[in-house]
Formats: sequence, structure tokens, C-alpha cells
Amino acid sequence: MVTRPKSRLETLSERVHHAVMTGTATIECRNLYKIFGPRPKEALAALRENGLGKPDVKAKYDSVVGVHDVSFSVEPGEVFCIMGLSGSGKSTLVRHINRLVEPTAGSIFIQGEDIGLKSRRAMRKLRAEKIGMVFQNFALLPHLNVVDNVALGLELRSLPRDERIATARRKLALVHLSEWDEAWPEELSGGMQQRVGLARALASDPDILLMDEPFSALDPLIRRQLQDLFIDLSRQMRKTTVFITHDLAEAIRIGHRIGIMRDGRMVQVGTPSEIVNRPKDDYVKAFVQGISRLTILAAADIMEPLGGDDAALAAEQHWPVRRPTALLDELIDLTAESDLPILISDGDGKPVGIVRRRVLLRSIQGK
Amino acid sequence: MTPSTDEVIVVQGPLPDRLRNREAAVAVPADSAAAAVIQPAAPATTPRQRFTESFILGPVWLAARGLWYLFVVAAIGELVGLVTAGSAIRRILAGTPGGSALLVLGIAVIVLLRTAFAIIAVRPRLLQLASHDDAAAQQRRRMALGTTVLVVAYVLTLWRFLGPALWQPLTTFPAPPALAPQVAKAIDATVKWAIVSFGAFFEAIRFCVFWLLTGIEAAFVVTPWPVTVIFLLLVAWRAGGLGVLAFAAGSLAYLGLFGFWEKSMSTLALVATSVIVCVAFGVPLGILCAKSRRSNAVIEPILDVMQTLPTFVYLIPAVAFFSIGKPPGVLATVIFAMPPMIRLTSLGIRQVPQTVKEAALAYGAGPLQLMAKVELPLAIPSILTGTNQVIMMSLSMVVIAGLIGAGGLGLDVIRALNFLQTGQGFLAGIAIVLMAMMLDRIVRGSKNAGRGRRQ
Repeated sequence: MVTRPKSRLETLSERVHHAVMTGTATIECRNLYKIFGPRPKEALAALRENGLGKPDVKAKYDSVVGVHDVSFSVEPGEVFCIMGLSGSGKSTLVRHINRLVEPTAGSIFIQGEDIGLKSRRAMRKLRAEKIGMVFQNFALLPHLNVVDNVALGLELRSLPRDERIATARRKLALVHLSEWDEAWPEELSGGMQQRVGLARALASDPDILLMDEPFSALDPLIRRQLQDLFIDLSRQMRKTTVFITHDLAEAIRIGHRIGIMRDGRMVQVGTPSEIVNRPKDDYVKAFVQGISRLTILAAADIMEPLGGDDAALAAEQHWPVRRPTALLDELIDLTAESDLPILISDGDGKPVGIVRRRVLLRSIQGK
Repeated sequence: MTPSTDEVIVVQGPLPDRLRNREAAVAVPADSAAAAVIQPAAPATTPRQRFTESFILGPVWLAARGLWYLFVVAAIGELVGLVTAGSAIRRILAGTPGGSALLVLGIAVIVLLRTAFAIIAVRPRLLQLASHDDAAAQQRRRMALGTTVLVVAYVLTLWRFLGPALWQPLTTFPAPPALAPQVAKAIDATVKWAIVSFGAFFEAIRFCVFWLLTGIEAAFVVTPWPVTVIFLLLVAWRAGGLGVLAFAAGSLAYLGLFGFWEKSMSTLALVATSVIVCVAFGVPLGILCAKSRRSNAVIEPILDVMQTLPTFVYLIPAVAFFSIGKPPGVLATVIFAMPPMIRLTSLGIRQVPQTVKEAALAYGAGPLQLMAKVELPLAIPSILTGTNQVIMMSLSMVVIAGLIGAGGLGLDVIRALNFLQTGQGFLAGIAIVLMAMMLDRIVRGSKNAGRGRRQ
């Protein structure tokens, strides 16, 4: 399991808040609605004013609500996972960010610019230069070989052939496919095809990556490998990423923050530990149930306040001491070796809480 | 959720099955039709009852169950039986021999048909289509419709054979005698008017085709034959390898040895011209059809007309508009051969996976780039199939174009036909076939070569 720089995680929510307030978020969606059907505007009005539900809109206006009043923002360099079951609108939502889908209402800002105001030409330029996208079914062009597929975005920008081939080869090396540059997509396995897809997304060195269930179509072992590859690349390159998945474990492994969608609405947004520790409703709770907490929860999430004489006892009995950011995994190691409680103290050495064995075991259970 | 016939049947089966299916049926929501079927209120009929019922009702029984296609088949079968029996009775009355045998045959047809459908009624599994769970009212409505149709059909038919002379409009369709000649006259007038008014326009088309054809013909016919042979063989070899090369060499040898060389090159020029025109207009029109639903709705029926209208029907106005000779031959060929080009181009473009197009769009492709870099390349196999079709259809038009003076191999076939020279006709016909096969192998070979590159 990957361990991320903890300080980054801790303060992320605040930084996102700051970024939104100062207008520096890389991606920001405000009150997005997408309604598919013959009369979207009427359905939208009904949805907003009368508070109709999804089935009512379907019955009354023959329209499907894809995205229902979704707002979120993604900070530079952040990996934001959107998780939900199929049909929850997550793939539709991600296609709003490069306007492959036009919103019925609401606006999208990329690096502070409202992309709804951009001309078609400007939008194409934005897609070609700033946004890379990876698809669930790989979507490689069958009539181009691997290196030409990787160079697709560069070719569409009419870069000279030598230059785009050279760039494409460098990107292929990143995904360990240098030897397959002349192969045809149909000769590659699913995992390799998706690595080509990833290289293609990185080819124009975009600021933003949109990943639409990139690993869902792969078998578990390959999926794991590609997740590791992605985490690795992501940490090197710090691309702002929106990552769609239907697998909460994947979202937790990959995302700095997770947004959970249901029926087109964003039900909860938070860091993995916030989602696991404080699921907002039963729907989220059901997802969280099967998730291992060992590498998600930290001492700060489960510690109890210090009793009156705990500090004195700790000093007397030489309790082990850990920071609030210590993960459950680490705390278990301590508790397995010693019967003493663990004292949690902050960076200045000031005690802030205590973790006893009972609390530790219960929190692993998720109770 | 609709229950399959299986479910329904097994519920009526032996006890353990019935219980099992009851459980299965209970699991589905109460509002579904399946739940209604197992309710004890549904009257169970024994196989014997169903046999008798369907035997007596005949086609009407089929109608009641909504099996309309079978109803039509059964009704026509019974009509055949009735007509046979009817004419038999007429013979018996008139004293002509063989009447009684015919009567037996007619009745046997009816009885056999009814037995066959009654067996189906007993074993509904033979026909998974039959619906058993309809409301009684719906069954009655269908039965009424079926009975009405049967009565009208049977009465009119029997009357035709047995009764007094029928009211004439019922035996021959009452067509107003002046209608067809008047409309035909109007069409004649329109054509005449168009020839006079747009003469320059048609002359311009004629000139363009003539110019293109003459150029190509010069290349094929005027060039010394060894040069043409070398180029054709080179193309055959590059496209399809040694097999196609050998076949092309054999075909060309046949054309030369039997004295068809010049005529076949002239035919080849005619085919090449029509292929060029078909591709030049067919591919853009195919793209238009794939992209715009409205133009597709307009073009599609025109293509149907072009493909099914008998050639001779437009050959006459083609001569009127473009006079005789090669240009009208090319134009008639184009009309006949262009539809598959348009259809297959449109199909090829519509078959490009949405996901691949979306990927190109996501990387900033504009509509023209999408067409040039994704849609057309992926449609190429389909477009080549279309080209192949155009070549084949053009060659099959060569003979008919010969009728209006397009020359070439078609002329030989027509001449052989006129003078009843079977041998000469065969030789010329085989020359056309060999040329068609050679061109087919070359085009198909180049298509496979394109694919082989990827393997």
C-alpha cells in the first residue's frame, strides 16, 4: 500500500477551500445539471423549483437526469476520484469538464476560465493542449500503430511528424512499452492497450487528466499493476486528475479526495479517511463496510481525549508515543507488542489524545 | 415482464413441477402478468378439449391467439382446398369425369390442415409464439376479426366458382381506362420539354463524360498492348500476389488470343469511367447520408428506384437526352452501379465506433479532422467493397449499354444474339466474366493487403 506525504493530506480540505476562494482551483464545477431528453429546460425548471425526483422527471418529461446540481473543485495537482455505481452520472459528469457533454445548466471553470464561454475552436485548443483523457474501453484508433496512437493529440495539433513521434516514444517509455511502438492496438492485451491510452493522455503534457473508469475493464491483477503505475506517474507529474471509478477501494488507493455520486447527485465529498470514518448516509455506509481501515484511518481519527492523570501515567509507565497522523497499521504493531495504551502527541510534543486497545480494535471493525 | 409460454405450460404439468413453478412465480412482483397466470381462476383445458376446439374453429383459433401469419397461411391453404372441392362439385353437377376424386382431394387438404394446427394447439411448445394469458375480451376481438376476414374470403371465392356470374368489378380490378395513357402522355411531354429547355445542360454532361472516357480509352486502347499488359500484371501482383498475377495473365491471354483485346480495353475504359464517376459522387453522397438523417431520408428512396427500375426504362430517355454512343452508356451504367457505393460508404462511416470518435474529439479533433483522420480511414474496407460492387455491376451493364452503341464486348454479345451465333456469344460472354473476375480479385486483394499490413 502506498503511503502519501501525510501533511499534504491533512491540510488538503483547507487548501481546496482556499483555492476556491481565491480562484486558483484547476477545475471547478458550479451547480451543474445535465438532463437528457426532449424538453431539458422544462424538466430542469421542474427539478429546481418543484423538487421533483428522478423517476418523476422520467415519467413527466420523458427525460433522464444525468447530473443533478453538482458542485466541486479540484486543486492543482490533486487526484479527485468520483465514485458511484453505473448509471449514477459519473461518466456524464467527467465529460462536462472537456465539454464533450454540454451542461443543461451550471458552469465549469478551468484555471479560472469559464469554458462555457469558449468558442469551438478555443475549446478544441483547450482539449488538445491542456486535457488528456483515458477511456474505459481504451478507444485506441485501430488503423494507427501504437506510437501514432500516442501521438494522436499532437497530430491533431499539426505538430511536425518527427517531433510528435519523438515525444510519443518518450511517453511510451514512461509506461514501459518502448518495444511495442510499431505494434497494432489489436495485438496488445487489455492492460497494454490501456497503458498506450495513458501514454496518449500524457503525450501533450496536459495540466489535467480525465480518467473515465480506466482500469474497470481489466482483470484484478493487471488492474493493480496499472494502479501502481498510475500512482507512480501521478506522484512524479502532479497532474490534476479527475478519476472515475465504481470501486471504492480503488478510489481510496488513488484519490486525495473522493466524491461519491448517486442518481446524479454528489452525496459526499471528502478525503478517504473522512469518507470511511464519517459516511454521510446509509448509501455511503454500505460502500464503506468492506473497506480495510488499516491504512486509511490515522490516530487523529480514533483517539480519545486525555483523562486528568493520563499524561502523568504515560510519563511514569513509558507509554509509546505517536503523532496524530500515525496510521492504524502502525498503532497495531505497537499494541501487539505491548499492553500499554498509546499516547498521541502533536509536533511540539504536547499530548493531544490517547488510543487504547479496545478503541483500536473497534475502529478496525468499523464500529 | 411477460411470462414465457414455458412457464405457463409447466404450471399445468405434473404436481412437483407445478409446485416448483408456483414458487418461482411467487418470487416475481405481484403486478406482473406471471402472477395472474397461476391463479386458480384461469380455466384449465384438457388437451382433448383444445384439439376439438381448434379443429372446429380452424384458422379462427389461430387468429384468436394472435398468430396472424399462421392464420394467413392456414386460410390460404383452406381456400385451395375449398376451390378444389368447389370445382369438383361443379364437375359432378355437369357430369364431367374425375369430379369425385377432386372432391376427396379438396376435403383432405382442409382436414389435414386443421389436424396439423390442432396438433400445434395440443402441444403449444411447438409454437413459442402463442399467447395463452390474454384477456378473454381480447381473444374475442381477434376471433371476430379473423371470422370476418374468413367469411369475406370464403364467400367471394366460392361464389366465383359455384355461383352465378359475379359482379364484374369483383373479378377484374376496376381501372379507369384513360388514366394510364394520360399520365404516360404527360411524362412524354415533360421529357420533350426538358430536352428542349435543358439541351445545353445535357450536352455539357455528355461532353464531360465523353472527354473523361476518351482520355481513359486512349490510355487503354492506343497504348501498345504489351505496355498495358505489363501495367495490369504489375497491379495484379502488388494487390494480390502470385495467384492473382497468374489469373490475370491467363485472362489477358484469353482476351488477346480470341481477338477481344481492343474491345475489352474499350470496355475496361467504360468501366473505369463509370467507377471514377461513381466514386467521385458516391463517396461524398455516402458521407452526407451517414452524417445527416434528413438527406438520408431523401437519398435512400432514390437509391431504391435507381437499383430496381428496369434498365430499359431509363435507357430510352437516356438516348433521348444524350443521344446514342458511349456517354449515355456510361451514364446508364452509373445510375445502375452507384447505389452500392453510396450505401456502403454510408454504412462504413456509421460503423465507426462511437468510443473511437469520442477519443478523437477529446483530443481536440474538429469535424474535418474527425472525418479525414478517423472516420474515412476506418470506413475504407467498406468503401473498397463498394468499389468492387460498382465494378461488378458496371460489367454486368456492359451488354445492355452495347444496345445503345457503347461498343466494346457488349456489342459482340448483342451481335451474336441478333445472328443467333451461340459460339460467338459464349466467347464474348466469357471474356466479360474473366474481366470481371480479374478486376474483382485485384480490388479484393488490395483490400486484404491493407488489412494484412496490420497482422
